This record gives sequence, C-alpha cells and structure tokens, in this order.
Amino acid sequence: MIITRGYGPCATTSSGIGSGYIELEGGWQLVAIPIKYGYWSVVDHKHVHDDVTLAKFENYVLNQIEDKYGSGIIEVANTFTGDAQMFYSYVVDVTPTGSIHNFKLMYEDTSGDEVTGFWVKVVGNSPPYLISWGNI
Amino acid sequence: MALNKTFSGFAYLNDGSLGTDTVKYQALFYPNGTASSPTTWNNVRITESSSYWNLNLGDADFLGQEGVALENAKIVIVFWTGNTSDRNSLCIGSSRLIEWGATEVTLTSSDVYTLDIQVKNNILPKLVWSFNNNGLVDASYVAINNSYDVHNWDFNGTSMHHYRTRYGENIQLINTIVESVYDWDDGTVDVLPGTTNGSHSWDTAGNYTVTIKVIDECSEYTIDTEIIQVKFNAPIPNILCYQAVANDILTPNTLVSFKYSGTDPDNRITKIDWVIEDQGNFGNTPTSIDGADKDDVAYHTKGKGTSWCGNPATPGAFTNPGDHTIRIVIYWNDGFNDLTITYTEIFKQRLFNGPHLSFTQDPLKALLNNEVEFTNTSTNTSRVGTGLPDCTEYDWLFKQEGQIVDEVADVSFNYKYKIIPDNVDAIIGLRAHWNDGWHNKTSYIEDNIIFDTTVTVTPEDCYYVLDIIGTSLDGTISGYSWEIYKDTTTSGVGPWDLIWESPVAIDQKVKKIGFTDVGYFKVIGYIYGGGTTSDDESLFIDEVCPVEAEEVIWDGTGLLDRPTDWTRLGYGREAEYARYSGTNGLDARGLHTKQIVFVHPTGVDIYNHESLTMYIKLYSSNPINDITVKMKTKSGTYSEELKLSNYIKLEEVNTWQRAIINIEDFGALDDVVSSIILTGHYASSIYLDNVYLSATKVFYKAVQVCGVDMVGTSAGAIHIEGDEVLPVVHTKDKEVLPVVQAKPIEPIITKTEKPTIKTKEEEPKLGKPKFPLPRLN
Repeated sequence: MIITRGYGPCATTSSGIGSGYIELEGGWQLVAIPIKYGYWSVVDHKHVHDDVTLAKFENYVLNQIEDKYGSGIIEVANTFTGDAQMFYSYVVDVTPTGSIHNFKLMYEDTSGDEVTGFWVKVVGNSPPYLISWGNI
Repeated sequence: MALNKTFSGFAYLNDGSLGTDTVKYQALFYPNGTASSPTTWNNVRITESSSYWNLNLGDADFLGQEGVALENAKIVIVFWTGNTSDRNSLCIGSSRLIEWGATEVTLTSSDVYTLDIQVKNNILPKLVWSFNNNGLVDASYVAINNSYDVHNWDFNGTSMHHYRTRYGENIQLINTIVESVYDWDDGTVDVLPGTTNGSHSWDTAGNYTVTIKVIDECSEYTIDTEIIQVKFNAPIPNILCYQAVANDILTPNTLVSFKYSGTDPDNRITKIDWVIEDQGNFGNTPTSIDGADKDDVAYHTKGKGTSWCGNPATPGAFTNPGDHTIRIVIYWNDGFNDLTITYTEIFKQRLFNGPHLSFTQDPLKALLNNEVEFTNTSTNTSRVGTGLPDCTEYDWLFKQEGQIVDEVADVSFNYKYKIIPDNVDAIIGLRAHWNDGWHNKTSYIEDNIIFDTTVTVTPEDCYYVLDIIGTSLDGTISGYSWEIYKDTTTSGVGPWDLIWESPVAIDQKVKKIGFTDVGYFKVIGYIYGGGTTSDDESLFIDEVCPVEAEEVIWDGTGLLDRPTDWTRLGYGREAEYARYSGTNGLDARGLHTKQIVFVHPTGVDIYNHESLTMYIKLYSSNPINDITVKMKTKSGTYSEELKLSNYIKLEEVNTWQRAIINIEDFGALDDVVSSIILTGHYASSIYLDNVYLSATKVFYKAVQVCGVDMVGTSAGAIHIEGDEVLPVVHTKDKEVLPVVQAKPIEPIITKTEKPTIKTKEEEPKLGKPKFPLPRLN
C-alpha cells in the first residue's frame, strides 16, 4: 500500500501497517509518509522502526536518498502547518538537524496523529528517484 | 504550489561567534516596481539555539500563501541583539540595540536563499569634509560637510549594512549623524544639526586651526582639523583723472590732475609712486612723484600745454596729444609680507574737431549761362580760422570739365560765392582752414552743381534731333535714355502708348528720330545718377516724312553739296544751270558714246541698299539710242547693263525725272562694287544730278538699337551716320515706310492749327517748319 497523504489510524504503529515506494520526479513533488517512529540506517541501508526515534524528513527521507543516490538530489523540503500557518523549510546542508525546520513526518494533534504532507524539490540530474517507506 | 521561497542561514556576532538564540530578525518585502505584493514587514523572529534563522515569503505573517513575489523584488532582512524586540530602538538606555546589521536580497527564480549574516556594534561616523587653506579677511568660507553614518561590510560573502532607511522604510534609526560642531579658532564655535555645512569669516589676518566634530546617534564622534591662512585683502587699483570723460581729455591745453581711486578695504596701502608719461613730437615731459599718500592729488607739473594762432600754452596740460600712460606703484602689507602692485592706465588727450563742411546752391536747379549762388552751411566751425587775425578761413573753387575756372581764397563764413556755369559738368569746392590744437589742417568738400533738366526737340531734314541738358538730382550723370509715346486719341492729351524706348547709356544724350505716322507724340528724356530727373516735349506730326536713308554717290561739288567717298570721272562738266538741287549738276550734253563713271576707293556692299537713284533731265530725246547703266565689282566683273529707258520716260525732255533702279535688276554680283558706269550712245544728251544708293529696306528690318532690343520693333531703325542711331518710329500696325515719292516734296512737317512742337511750359517753339530735303527735291 502506498499512502501519499491523509490522516488515520494507519500510522498509529511503527510497523506492520504498511509499506510502499515513492518515485520522486524532478522538480516539486508532494509527498506524505505515515511513519511516526523510525529512521534510515546508513549501516544496514534500510529503515529501522524502533518506536523511539521520531521519523523526520532528514533521518527518514533525506538520509535514504543520499545513501542510495548520493548528495545534491534534494534542495529543499517544505511543509506548511495549519496551526502556525507557517512553513517549515528544511534546506539541505543548511538547516541543522535540531532545527524545528527538520519537520516530523507525523504530528500529534488533539484529534490524533496527523501525517505531514510536504513538498520536496528534486534537483538531481537523473530522476525519478525511487524511495521506500515502511517495512520493505 | 503556492508562494514558497525560503531564506535561511546562521547569524554571527561582532566577534565572529555564533549568536545562538540571541539574534532577532525581521524582514522587509519591497516589490521594487514589479507587480508583486505591496511592501510588507513580517513579524520579529529570533534565531534558534544553533543561531539558525529561517523565514519563508509564503508565511502567513509575511506575504502569505496568496502573496506574489516576482523577480527583482527586494528582501531586506534586519538583525539585531539587545534587550528589545524593536529594530528601531536606540543604542543607549536599557532597551537598546547592542549589535545590528541588515542584508538585502534581490529575488531571482531561485526558491532557496542561504545567507550567513553578522551584526556589529556601533561604527564611528565617517567624517568627510573639505575646507580652504587660504583666505582673505572678511570673506566667508564654507566647510563642505559630506559625513555619513551608514556603513557597509562583507561577511562570508554577504554584504552587510548599517542602514538607517531603505526603500522609504526605517531600517534602524541609529545610523545617523545628529550634529556637527565647528570650532573656528577665534573663539567662535558653531553647533549645527546633522551634517549642516559650516561657514565663517575672520576680521583680521592670521593662521587659524579649524576643528570639525561629527557626532552620531550613539553619542560617538569623529574629529578632524584644517589650518587656514587668512590674509588682508589686496588693493584693487584704479586712477581717476579729474579732467577726463571715459579716460578722454576732450579739450587740448587743459591742466590735468590725477588721484588714486582704487580700493583699500583693510587700509593696508603705505604709499604710492606716480609716473605721468608725456612723450611725442612736441617734447618729452614726464612727471614723476615718489612716496605720495594714497589720497594725494598728482599734478602733471612737467606738462607744457600747447598753443596755436597766438593762443598761449597752459603749463600743467599735456605737451603732446594722443595716449598718455599713467603708472603707479602701490606699496601695501597683506598681514604677513610687504608687497607692491604696479598698475597702468592710459588717458587720451583728444584734439579739437574740425568743421563739418556743407553748402547750398541757389537756385536749387541751375540753368546754363545763368548765375548760381552758393552759401556756406558748414557746422562745428569754431576751429576754422580760430577767430585770430593770422588764421586763414575758407576758399571756394569752381571747376568745369575737371578744370578749375574760378577760385576765391581766405573768405569769411558769410561769403556768398557766385558763378555762371556754361557746362553741366560743373563742380563747386569748399575748403576750410582750421587748427586741432597742435596742427594746422584743412578740410575740403566738393559737389556737383545741380542743373535743371530740359529736353529739346530740333527738326532737321526729315528727322528730329533730341537733346537733353541737365543733371540727376545730385548733379551727377551716369546715363541718359529716351521714351516716345503716341497718343491713342486725336486729342493730344493721351492716353499714351509707349512705342519706343532707348537703352540707358551715357552716349544716349543726343538722338535722331524720324516718324512714320502722323499724330501726337510725347518725347521723354531721362538723366540718371543720384536720383533720376526727366523732362518731356510734345509734338504733332501731321505728315509722314518719306525719309530715305542713302549713300550719296554724287550730287555736285559746290558749297551746298555733300562730299562723298565716290569720285566722278569721265564725261561731263559741272555747272549751276545743270543742277537739280544744291550748287551744281552735271552737263553731259553730247554724251554720245562716252561714259560717266563714279569710282569708290574700297568698294560698296551693294546689297546693303535697295536701289540706285539718279535725277536726269533729257536734253534731247532719242528712244532708239538708249543710255545704259552697269556696275563693276572690285574683282573686275560686271553687272547686267540696264537701259534707262526702263526707268524714265524718254519722250519727256527738259524735265527732271527720278530713275529708281532696283539693285536686284543688276543681277548677281560676286564682290563689292567699285564703280558705276553710265554709257551714252549716239545722240545721248543729258543733265545729271543727285546720284545715290537708297537703303530704305533697312527701315523695317533693324530690331535693335545699340545692341538693345527696342520696344515696338516693327518700328525699325536705321543707321545713317557712323554709329549714330536713327530710330524710325511709327505705329505698331505699320511696318513699312511710305514709298519715296518720285516727285518734288514740299516741307514734310507743317504746323496746323495746333503747334507742331510744344514744350511743357510755353507756347510752341516752332512756327511752320520747312525742312530742306535737298536729296529729294
């Protein structure tokens, strides 16, 4: 199952819910990944879903891309939160890991967890770039 | 995707360290002439603990998702530290800015802008000013103050600024100079707002150290000094001559005096040396004065003046006329040094002016052989004769045709000069003797006598001689011309039609004209020069004159006959009883087979003529034995030999008959004719007179006079004597002259009830004219 956007109980657990692939085309692309905990292991070259590590753009998406395809593929990733009516803009190679602009892939809201939809700008020279999420 | 442009980076402090979460920032969006959203500030933000800052144009506190941000729009991002969230706080007090700075980005197509920025604490104002290093007492000097407190620097490739305003928006209000302080070193200190220019003057000479201090919003300042050397003002020289008008001394022999009239604003002149130059043909008499006070009057004590006609010279006046250089040396001190100024000025000693000569003529239009009086009307005559007994006054001269014919010398102004001219080429001269103060001089004018213009018309033979006497309005004569009009009615009062006019030339004074029609005519003569004059005569022609131009071959050799180029040879004897007219005719009785020959030395172009005419009286008749006529050319050939019986009546004896032989009857000739031969035959016996070649055909062929087209060319013209022109005037619809009559002709112009010829002002001059026409009788 490939989930690209939305809310729901599908992301309430860290594993066993689903998985999928996403092809990142050149330019802007809207993406959503329903993962709350997990990260990309550059040692094992796969996702680790440990129920501890908050899945963010950098550790879950960007590290996977750079591990698979090298650097210079992504320029920026932006999400616009409804609460703050502001962008969280993750600028590759600029935004610190600890910055709030390294946004989480899911947020806890009063109504429950919400999957973060975000725009990613692909600037690599050989799109599409295939990435995965979940237990694949 | 909506508006989404990210600006981010890290903020550094003045010492180069990261600012952690102490740096506040706020961004200005400025459309910069594009169709972007309007100028907008976002909310103040603070850097993260990593000193990371980040903003996006699409943020709700900035342009928002519906905002528009096009290329070339500007983003100014302002950073600061301190206990204040207001970027416009001051730099003093508890809520103040400590370090600050701003950077500016021009939007491109990029979506991401990464900038490392730096804030700095206050930078001292930049002092930029200029001031004179030399000056004069009481003159005002301005210190140009272009200082500023806006600063720029570069940090890791980012241009940082201490802006005060940008794009009409306050950026940070502390980056300005609040006042400038000027210390002029003479006890005067001026405190002026901002960077106002200072100005100052000093009332005494000296070296002054001028100090300027510019103070910024943070009460910090920059200071500088300049030294100005202030001197006393130099005198500006000038010289006054009490007797001069615009440096001209108008009257000779006037005592002259001079005075320093230049400036000395600081009273620094100590003395003046004078030299009054006076050099020329009348002596070298300069005056020198040393060490004079500037208020002293300098007199030309060496000047001798001038004298004339016994008038005494005035000492102290210029010895010579013309330019005189006055030279002064001014000694003064500028507060530091003793100095001199040399100055010269030229004054001109003028001469007395001479008279403006003029005279008048009475009468205004003179008549030949009548007295004319001239009156001296000269002006400005005070120097003529000078009123002294040993000075000559006026001379009068009278010239005719370039030669002096009368002269009177040394007469007074009131003398009336009278002469009687007998030629219109007449000139009057007036000479005045006067003195200009140094020299005896003469002035002279001359002018033409102005004569009345009169036209005369004199009948002569079968034509009229026109003559015009007089001058143009100024007495000169540059040419003459004529016009002849014919009355279009029979009233004698016009209207008139111009039927002929002559060219304008000096040789047109006398003309000979003939008329080929009857009626009233008006002859107008013109004289050209300085104002054209004219006169006219009216005349009535009541009978056409059968004028015939001719070349006389032979008409007798007596006193009343005319000499010709032709020579008569051969048979015959000249006798009074054999004449037709004039003195003699040729008695050729008994001609028989003999010949009468007329010889021309060079030959005649016979085709210039129309006919050969001769008067013959047959003494006896003999129809069988005719008389023949032939021509011989210069080349020796002969013409056809013609019988006179074809041209006269042989049966009419003892009667004068005119034989008119057309030239064409003689046949073609190959050269000019050198002789004409009459040959008799048995029993031929005649009297012969008035043999001539007639040229009537040119009467209506000529179309020009003296090379100039004639009006009414159908009138024609004929040359009869040398180059003289005889216009033959007739009405436009007549082109052929009347045929010459072969019978005696009575006087051709007669006076009828009205005078034939009248002048404008008097009764007819002519009675009943009878003009002899010997060749036609």
